[in-house]
Amino acid sequence: MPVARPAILNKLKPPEDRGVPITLAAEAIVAPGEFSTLNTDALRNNTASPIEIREIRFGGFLTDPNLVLLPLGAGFADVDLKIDGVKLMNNPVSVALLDRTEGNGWYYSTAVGGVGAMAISRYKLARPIILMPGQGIEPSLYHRSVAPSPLALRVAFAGRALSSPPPERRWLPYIASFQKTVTIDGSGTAANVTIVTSTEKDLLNASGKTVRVERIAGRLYRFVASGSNTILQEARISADGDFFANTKVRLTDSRGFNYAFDTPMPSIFDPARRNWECPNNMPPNSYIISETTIPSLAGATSAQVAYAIVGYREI
Amino acid sequence: MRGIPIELSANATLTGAVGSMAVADLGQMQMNHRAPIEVTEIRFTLNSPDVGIVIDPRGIVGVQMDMGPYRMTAGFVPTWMLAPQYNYANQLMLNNPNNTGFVRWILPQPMVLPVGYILRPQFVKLPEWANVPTPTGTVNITTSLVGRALINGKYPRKTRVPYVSAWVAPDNALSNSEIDLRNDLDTTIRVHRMIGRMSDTTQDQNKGGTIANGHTASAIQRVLIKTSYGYNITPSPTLFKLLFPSQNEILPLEMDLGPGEGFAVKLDTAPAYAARPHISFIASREESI
Repeated sequence: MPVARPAILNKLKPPEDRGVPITLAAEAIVAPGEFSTLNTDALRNNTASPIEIREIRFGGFLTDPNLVLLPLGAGFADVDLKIDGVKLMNNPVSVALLDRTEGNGWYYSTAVGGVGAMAISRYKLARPIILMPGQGIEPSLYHRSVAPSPLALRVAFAGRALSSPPPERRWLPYIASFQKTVTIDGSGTAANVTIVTSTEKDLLNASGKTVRVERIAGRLYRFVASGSNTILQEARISADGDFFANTKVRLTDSRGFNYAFDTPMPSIFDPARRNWECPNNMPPNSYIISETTIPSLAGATSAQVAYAIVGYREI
Repeated sequence: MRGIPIELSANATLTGAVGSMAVADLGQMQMNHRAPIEVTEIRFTLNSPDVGIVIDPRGIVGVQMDMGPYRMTAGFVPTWMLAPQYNYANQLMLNNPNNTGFVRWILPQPMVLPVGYILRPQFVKLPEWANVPTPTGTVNITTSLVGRALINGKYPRKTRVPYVSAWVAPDNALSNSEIDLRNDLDTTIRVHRMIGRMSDTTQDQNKGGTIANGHTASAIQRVLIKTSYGYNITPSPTLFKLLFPSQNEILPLEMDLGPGEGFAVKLDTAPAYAARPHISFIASREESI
């Protein structure tokens, strides 16, 4: 009589040997400034096996081929995820904050051959999500009006259909974010700074469990003219050296510890990865307060700061 | 995940001509809770907004660092010789007036800074600054220590302290001297890697003045490197850009240097301002704290 392969041996195998690759995907067309909940049936585990999801990808595609460039660095969409009613995010978070890509920070192509510009953001999970048969993920996507055209927003969850029982310990991501647009001084006078502060409700661990924080993501954006449009563009050393380097950040947690005190933004959020890799434990109901001092920038009108705590908790 | 993440920053401003110095405001690099700090990275942001031309401040500003009683550098080292530049285009803005550069130095091993010890960076305008038309231009420097505060107060009694030595090839020099790229300490150091870069400090003001960007290089420069005890790192003359590839500019080594030992470097093309080799080694040693 054949002997079943002990399940423990499957756990010791590398991920690529543990099951069949599978991708769940859905799409919606969203007008600027509007929300859309995607087709949850397309994002449901309709197989008989658990699915282990390791990566979530977000794609934005401009429906107007005459708009040349979609600035993914600005994060074309905010996303809110739930699994069977359990929230993965404290509040909707920009897809740019989930991406950790080096270099230019995005994958994109400009409009070509009548097809609009596109950009892709990728969120690699530190711990996989296990979707049991029948469970589904419910994403809501919000068009951030980075471009004055409807977007085809696509979400894909990539992973494997497991051929063995799932691990006993399971994890879910947890993300808390703070994003705010403010009017800044456009005179170029050094003393005219704008201060943006988050509240206790923004970068908050509201999960009820200890969150293992992988990293803190940070972005600074400014509004720029692009032809007849105004678009949101990410500040980088290579484009806005002075402005980015003179933006100072304070991060203080609910226990009173200063994570950073008047530190230039590029020093904390490494210009290449735009994240601060700082593994630590965040107790339930603890929070981080951010205070950002934005300098004056000649000719500028508005800027936006965005931070996210990205981590996971055990369920 | 012991401790809390922390990034402490301090500012320094360089004014004056070649040789002028500045020390970072050390009070800003103190914890508000008295706890030891485990430092994993040191980052620098340099900005020269009023020199009137394009420069890369990282190549012409030197840093000397001490950790408590222990030296971390052999004299002043150009800030860009502390770390490789993986994402060159994203870490620089060579654009008058926004001459901004960023250096991220990931320490070979985390270094513990006990309560009462100070990491003291001191900056200087290096001789290449004489090529800048406004040599008294300002350089704003922010030093950041990244790591975690060990709030339980416990830390090991020994820690590894980095040690960096650099050589900037002078005009017409075909080799370094005995005091360059040398272990000046009285203890054995572990050399983890060498970093090699070519700088271009062209003095043609019609092009915008002094440029030191590290990626305009002579394609023909070859180099021989051996240790002072005769071991050949490169058995035959090797193209500089093959030894230190542009992608990361690193030659991994993982070898020991005893007290007084060092590296001998021989070039086969005399350096000039248009293609000047910079070579450094990044090492560490164990010290009591």
